[in-house]
Amino acid sequence: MDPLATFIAGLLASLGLKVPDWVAMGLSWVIGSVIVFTIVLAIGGVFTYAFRKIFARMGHRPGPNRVGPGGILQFLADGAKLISKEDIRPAKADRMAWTAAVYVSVVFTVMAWAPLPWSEQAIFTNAGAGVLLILAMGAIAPLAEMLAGWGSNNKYSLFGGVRAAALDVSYEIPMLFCVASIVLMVGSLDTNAIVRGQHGVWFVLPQIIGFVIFFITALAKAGLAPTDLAESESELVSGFVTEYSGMRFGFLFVVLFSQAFFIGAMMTMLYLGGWQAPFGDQLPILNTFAGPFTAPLWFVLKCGLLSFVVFWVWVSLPRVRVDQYLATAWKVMLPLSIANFVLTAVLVKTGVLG
Amino acid sequence: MAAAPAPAVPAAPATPPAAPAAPKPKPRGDYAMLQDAHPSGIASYDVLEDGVGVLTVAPDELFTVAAEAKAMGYRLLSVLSAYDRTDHFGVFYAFLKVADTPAQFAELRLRVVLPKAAGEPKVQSLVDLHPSADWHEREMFDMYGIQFLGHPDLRRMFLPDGWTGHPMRKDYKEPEQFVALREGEDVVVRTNEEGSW
Amino acid sequence: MAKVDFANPRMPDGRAPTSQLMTLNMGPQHPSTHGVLRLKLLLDGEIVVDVEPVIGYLHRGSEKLAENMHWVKFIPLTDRMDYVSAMHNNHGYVLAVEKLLGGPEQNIVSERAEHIRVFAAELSRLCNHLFWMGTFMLDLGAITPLFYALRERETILGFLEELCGARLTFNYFRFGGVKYDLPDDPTYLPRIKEFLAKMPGHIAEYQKQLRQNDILVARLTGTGPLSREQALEWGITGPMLRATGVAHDLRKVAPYSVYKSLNFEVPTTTQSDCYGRLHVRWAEMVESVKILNQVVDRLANRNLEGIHLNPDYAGGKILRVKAKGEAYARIEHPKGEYGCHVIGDGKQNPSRVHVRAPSFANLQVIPLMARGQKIADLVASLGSIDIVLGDVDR
Repeated sequence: MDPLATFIAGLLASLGLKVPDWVAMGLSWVIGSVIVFTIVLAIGGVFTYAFRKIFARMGHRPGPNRVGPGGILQFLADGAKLISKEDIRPAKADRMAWTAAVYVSVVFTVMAWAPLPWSEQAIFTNAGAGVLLILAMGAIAPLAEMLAGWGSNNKYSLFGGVRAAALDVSYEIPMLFCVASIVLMVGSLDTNAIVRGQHGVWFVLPQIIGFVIFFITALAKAGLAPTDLAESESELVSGFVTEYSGMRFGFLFVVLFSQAFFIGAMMTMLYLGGWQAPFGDQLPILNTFAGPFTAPLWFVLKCGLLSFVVFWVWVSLPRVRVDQYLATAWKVMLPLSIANFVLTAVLVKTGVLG
Repeated sequence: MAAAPAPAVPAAPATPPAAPAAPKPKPRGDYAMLQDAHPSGIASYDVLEDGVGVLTVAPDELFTVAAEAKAMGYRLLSVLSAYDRTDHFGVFYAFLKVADTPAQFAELRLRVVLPKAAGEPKVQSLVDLHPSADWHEREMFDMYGIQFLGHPDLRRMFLPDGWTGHPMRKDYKEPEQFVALREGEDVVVRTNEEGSW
Repeated sequence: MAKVDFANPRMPDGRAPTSQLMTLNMGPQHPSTHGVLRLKLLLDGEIVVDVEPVIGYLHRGSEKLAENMHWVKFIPLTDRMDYVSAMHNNHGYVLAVEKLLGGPEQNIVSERAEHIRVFAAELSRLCNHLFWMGTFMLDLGAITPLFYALRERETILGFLEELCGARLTFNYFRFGGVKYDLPDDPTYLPRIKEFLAKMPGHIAEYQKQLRQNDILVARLTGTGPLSREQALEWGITGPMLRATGVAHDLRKVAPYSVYKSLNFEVPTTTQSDCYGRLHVRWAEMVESVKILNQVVDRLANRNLEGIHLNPDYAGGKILRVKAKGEAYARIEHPKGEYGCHVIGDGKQNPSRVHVRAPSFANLQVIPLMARGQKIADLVASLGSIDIVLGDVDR
């Protein structure tokens, strides 16, 4: 029984309802799923606002400032607009693929969030191989992009889909080697175990090469600038998103922005000590300054900081060219990540690390 | 009135503008060389109101004259324009010596007169000499219907392929209705069965 | 450029293609075709096998309209050709008509008016290059440089608005001078001096941020190559030509207005790719600031003789009498050679106005620059030409 199920069973018991364990478990799954889904979409929505605000500041503009205080409700207004728009399906589109792409994209993006440890307890699926689950969900992303690219029956979409698939496949391998180095050091695929393994020294120090490579590969896999080649608007109009309108477009958009947070969350978990406070042992006050919310707060703070870096890169850099970036993946990132992996293995075996 | 600004083209022959009573100006420099080399092809030499001379070339000799001008260093086709006077069409060319200093810079202008009495206007194309003439000639074909003989792809430049008439001609009548954008029959585009072009 | 045979495509080297090629219709509605340019692409995967530009979607028949309107009334129409640097369009047309009116000596514009013209034109050149830089970076996927460029452009547009009341389509030049004198505001020229003092720092800021960017350098170096020979053959002018190492600047080699008395350099580079073009335009902005400094000093310190508009030529009557004959005037537009071929019959409307548009002439070369490169390079090459579709189609 996980804490949520226990809590639900207790709640129902207090109402005089004695339910068997499997009912409580089932209810906890449903409620947990709804919570994750809401969190992902809410973060995606808030991040569209955050991105626009940051982008505006960096471009000497005020940014959205009309809806709500400081424009904070802009994303809700945008969402309302997108929902109320006509849902246009291209007449010659492959209906199955075109429709499925949005669901595949949203569902597997959200599923990847399940094993994220917001704190030691606040984790939706404490699966033993949480890291593997995240990577597996990430590996499905090209499927959605290819489905959208093929199903739209538009050459720009097709180009976007093929580019996305090429980038995802190329950058997945160095990313896996980076994660594998961490797993070697921890000896576990459990996300919480990885965070606990960073007690004392965060993995960003011994794994600095992996940290940099992971950041670059994660940007490429998520399709964020400067590697947003799949929807590079100056070449491919909007890539695989071209033929989507209304809330279908809205979902793809929100997924993209939630990726910015997810990159931050992954890197916080793997390299920046997850929900642990910095200097936790030296400055014990940091570990408890907000009571039970301390750990999630630290996690979110670190994620926010890294997401800001993602946005910063996004607005600052020009887009790379597809052949240049694929060459970087195979000729630079892959050898470097393998070297990092081998080095880590040697150091772990000799007892220097881990 | 203040001091006169410099004339726009200092290297041009400093002949005064042709006044009706003034004697016919004599070509100088490159103009004279060209005229001497092609006594049959060059009908006359005039000076335009901006003080630059222009050689009127026979339509059949245009290419040879322009080729010689290119050999003399006039390598940049600066402008290709056409016009419609009541009795003739004209095509106006200006070539430049591309230069780093004012002393090296020079301009050479040619003109072809195509009398309307001689039927549809036809003139030699300069595309083989100056590839840049391509679009300029297409534009003049589009607007005036001047045939540029030897042009590899003389199509309309701005107007849709289905347009009738050449609108810059003075006798052009606006059509009561016209064909909007239409892909020409000669532009064959491979499409799949779905027609996804 | 011979028409691309889409039915029986050939590779650039004349071979038959080994794989099936794809035709892609880019535009007329596309984010990076700078308006309504249409490119028919023949693609081998990401590689551009051939390009066929199709233009005419913004054709408004200005030259035909000119034949039915008063000489003066055509000036606002020139604004709408290249709306990014409308001052220069005004200048080219006005200069050509003044040659009809005043002959080759053309001493009908006072020295003061000439200085105001150069002042307006060079501010407009700065606007053009700034806006070009921003949109070029947008083509490369960098979104922020546009806003840096617009920051300065807004200031300049403010100055131009004070000068003539308009921010985009100025309609400022007249035969015999300019429509308005400098504003009465005594702080006008000092404010411009202040701005000009800051401008080189801003340009250095762009250069610092963009030149040190490895992605940008990798994207631009070797992209859209154009040799000196090709540039001459294809009638390329302006920064595109100067990026091939030819210091051909009409302000220098065939000076009009008061450029002869001004001190400036003609920047060139031999790196004739997109990166070279970026450098040339940066350097030209610095030179424009130099020119502006001199002009503003003269306008402020020296009591330049004359009035801003020659009253003898401001009216319409003189045109009926004197606008006879044929003339061609060329100026150095920010995009290249802008020329105007005018023929008058001594009526109040011209018999012929032909505009030699730099964008039109320069755009022709895009297949040459893009063949064998990637789609992304095609977009960069197209951006580096600096086209405005209003200028291409007229």
